[in-house]
Amino acid sequence: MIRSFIFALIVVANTPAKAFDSFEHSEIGREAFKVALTRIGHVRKGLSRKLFSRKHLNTGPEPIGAVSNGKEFAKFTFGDLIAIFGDYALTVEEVNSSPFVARTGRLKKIVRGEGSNVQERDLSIALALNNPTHFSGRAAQTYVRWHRVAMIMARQKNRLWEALHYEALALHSFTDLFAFGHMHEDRELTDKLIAWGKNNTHRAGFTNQLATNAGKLMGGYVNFYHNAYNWKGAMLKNLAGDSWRGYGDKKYRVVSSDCSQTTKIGKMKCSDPVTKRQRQIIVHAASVSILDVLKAAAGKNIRVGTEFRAMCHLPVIFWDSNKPIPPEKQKASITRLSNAMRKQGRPMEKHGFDYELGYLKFEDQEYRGSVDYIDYVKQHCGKV
Amino acid sequence: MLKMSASIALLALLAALQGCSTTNMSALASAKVESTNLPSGTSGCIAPKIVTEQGECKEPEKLSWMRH
Repeated sequence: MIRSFIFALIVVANTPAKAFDSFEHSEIGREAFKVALTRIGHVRKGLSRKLFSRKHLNTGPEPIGAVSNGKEFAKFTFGDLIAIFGDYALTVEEVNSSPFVARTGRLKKIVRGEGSNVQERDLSIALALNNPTHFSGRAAQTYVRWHRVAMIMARQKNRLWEALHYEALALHSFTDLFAFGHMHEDRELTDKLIAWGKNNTHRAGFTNQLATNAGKLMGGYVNFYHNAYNWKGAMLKNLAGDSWRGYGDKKYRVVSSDCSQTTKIGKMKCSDPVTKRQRQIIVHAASVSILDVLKAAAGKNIRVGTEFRAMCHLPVIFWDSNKPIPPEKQKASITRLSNAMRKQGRPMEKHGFDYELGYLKFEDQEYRGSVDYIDYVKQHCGKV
Repeated sequence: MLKMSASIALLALLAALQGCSTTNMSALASAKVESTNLPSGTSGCIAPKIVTEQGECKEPEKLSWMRH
């Protein structure tokens, strides 16, 4: 049993640890962008149209251009970009380069929930295995880093399109922080082990084997806890004083079993009351950030100390949740889950630990606390 | 004889009561385990109601940006 348990953890290491699924990121981005455009319209009538008549931007359904060698080769929605950055591409330069031209069509389909692609899936797994910018304190730092660049670039002539790329990159990490499974992960420890594993795989014999498996084993642990918290959810609270129930991937919109839709696009029609408040808060938070970039582009003064005010909406306190029983204490359940998932044609090595099937259990004691990076959020929100 | 029958009956009653209580206790325990094994907000205090930090189940307050 121990052998199959360790094997299960190792094989699961190769499944992506996402806060929200691509189409969920895309929905958040699309809605937040819409709200920001409406609100910039309130600042001055016609301002939105004026801003989007600038270089590589347009007022159509896909308003943001992608540019390689000075030539615009594709148009994206803001939702597309927020979903692509972080999970399928790591930098603004990568998205605006000639090798990316061939990927745009299939990536748009994936992030809009209209299709899948094996090559892109493999790439996203490779990126996910080393994705510290999606978790806890480093996700907050990543947002600050790229939102700052977006704000600076937005003020420069004809660079708003580029600023919006940086803003999407920033907001991918920012929106990840609304997923409970991304708020309290000890990535430092796991990263060290994974790095050690990677650095030692070139060695011969036992060290190589140990290094490879130790790294993967930790990846399995990450997936176990990440999936547990994202599935379980918790009551969350931000510094603005809002509290809500928050979850993680595949639970941005649908938690209730009342939704009878089976497709990703179909599920968007379900107005799940369980997640309504979660959606309102995430969309509002992201829209505040986008609005500040648009205001900067319009030459409005953003008061010093308020550039990161969107961070006041990040969840920093949690309660009414439970920790999963540690994997080493539910070895038999993991083995049973692995068998059940294989029978369903959804092997665990591809789909990770599935809590929905009820094999994996949580501790009875309530899990509550605050995130490790609460002071960083307070400082940037202007509450310190 | 009567005393012995009464003792046996008493023992049987105690055993039945104990059995009953054991069954109920395990049912209760498993019910508790079940609620901890469901997503937050789908049992006990059902969403859109929320649980406050003090543990009260209530209707949520207006969101901060809607209050101003």
